[in-house]
Amino acid sequence: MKGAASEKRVCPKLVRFTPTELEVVRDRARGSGRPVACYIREAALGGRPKAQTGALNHSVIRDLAGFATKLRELAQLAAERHSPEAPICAGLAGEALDLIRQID
Amino acid sequence: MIGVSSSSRSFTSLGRYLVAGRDGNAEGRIAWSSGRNLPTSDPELAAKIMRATASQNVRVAQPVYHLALSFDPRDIVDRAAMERVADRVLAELKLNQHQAIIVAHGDRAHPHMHILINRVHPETGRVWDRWQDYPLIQRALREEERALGLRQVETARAVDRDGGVGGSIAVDAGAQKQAAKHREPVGRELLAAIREDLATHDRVSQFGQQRFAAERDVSGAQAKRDQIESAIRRYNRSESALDGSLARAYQDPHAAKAAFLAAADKNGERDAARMMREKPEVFGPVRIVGRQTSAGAAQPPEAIAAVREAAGYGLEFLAARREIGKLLERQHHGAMPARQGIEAAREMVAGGVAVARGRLESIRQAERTLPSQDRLELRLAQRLRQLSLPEFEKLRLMLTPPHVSLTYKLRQMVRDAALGRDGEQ
Repeated sequence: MKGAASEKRVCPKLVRFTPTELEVVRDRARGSGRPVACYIREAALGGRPKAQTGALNHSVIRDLAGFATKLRELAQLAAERHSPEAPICAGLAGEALDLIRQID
Repeated sequence: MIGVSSSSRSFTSLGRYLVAGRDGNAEGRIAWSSGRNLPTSDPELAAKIMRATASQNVRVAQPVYHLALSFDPRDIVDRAAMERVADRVLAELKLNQHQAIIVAHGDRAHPHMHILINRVHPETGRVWDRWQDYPLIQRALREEERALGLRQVETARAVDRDGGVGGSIAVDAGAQKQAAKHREPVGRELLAAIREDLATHDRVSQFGQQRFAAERDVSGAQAKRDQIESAIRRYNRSESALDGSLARAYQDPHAAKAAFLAAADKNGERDAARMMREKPEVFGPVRIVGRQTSAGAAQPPEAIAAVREAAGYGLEFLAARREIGKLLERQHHGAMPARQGIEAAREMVAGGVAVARGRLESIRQAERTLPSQDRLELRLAQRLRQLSLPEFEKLRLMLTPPHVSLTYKLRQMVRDAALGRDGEQ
């Protein structure tokens, strides 16, 4: 259920959860890509907030990107020290980026 | 240098735009690109990574921050200088820990670069607030202009209002308040100048409409004059031809002409012409050329030919007279007889042309005292660009709907030009 378009949400309501309940609600809200309050409101008003598609992909991309960033830094450092590992690190970073490209 | 910033929703769209533009033609567009806090310098891949990073924060609606930095076309800058400016601006905005991709384009005369920045911090997930970003960008650009010896752009609000480019980066809160106090009257003056420009724009538009109407009047008067002149020429030509052939056919051509015209008025033009061809003697004694003939005998061939010619010219003369009669009737609303009014009508039409031309010239002279519409709109656009968003909103409340529409259009136009979209729309 939705209010009128011009109607503003000005009424706060405190809701108490047990820590476990709150953790579950937080996980679900995160999974649907919404803030906790939005998730609770939508669910309470009869909506079924769907899990955000691609949330897992985003997580994987973030991890791979972090991994690739660190490998790049390592490659740069190794190159500055004329270390033979430099091209290996650069190659691994490139592979991580290729994996990111393949993720839809 | 000119710096323009904006926020948007989609990393993917902006990444695609930076690579291939709106027409999808990527060839020669990117001169170079460089990532910050990213493992890649590929804009589209960087956009994908930024999108994934931004998804950590579910509250942010517009995670994309876009900066377009343009140099003067006469500035010669290399990649190192451009990257230095980009890094300086990012540091000034405290975005140096955020993911950013710098894309320099080589598809225009002026060197320029776009910086696609993720407002969401990659580690903390916090969103960077762009409030008051404009003065920071301007300060960084002015200082870099001085440091690199580049041409200084005087469109910057920060420079104009702070009264120079000497402001340091570390301005304390008190100094900022002082500067704000100092800025206030300048802001009011700017608003007043914009309103005055809008009033001038109205006058220019009105003169433009009046000039258009006056040009239309001149064209109309000239067309009438040409029409009447043409009808008069036809009338005179057909009359002299008729007179000539009647003179060859009849002993008294004036009487024959009068009789012919009377017959045309009474029985109709075609009947009068037919009668002249078949029974020419009805209109008077026919001139005998060559041998004499007895009464009732066939007319000599010369006279027959002249009579037939006169009948043809007579029809043409009658048509010309009818046409000129109609024109003069229209000109004088039927008040003036056709024959008498020809010269008067000619003078009147010529007078109408002169009056219309005079009016047009006076409008043009008045227009010369005002700036041209293009120049005025450019000046107005530059002034509008100096307003912050709240100032612009405040101005809009004071304006009429047409002025609101105009100001919005002009502000958008300058923004698009600065973002390098001018040639693509």
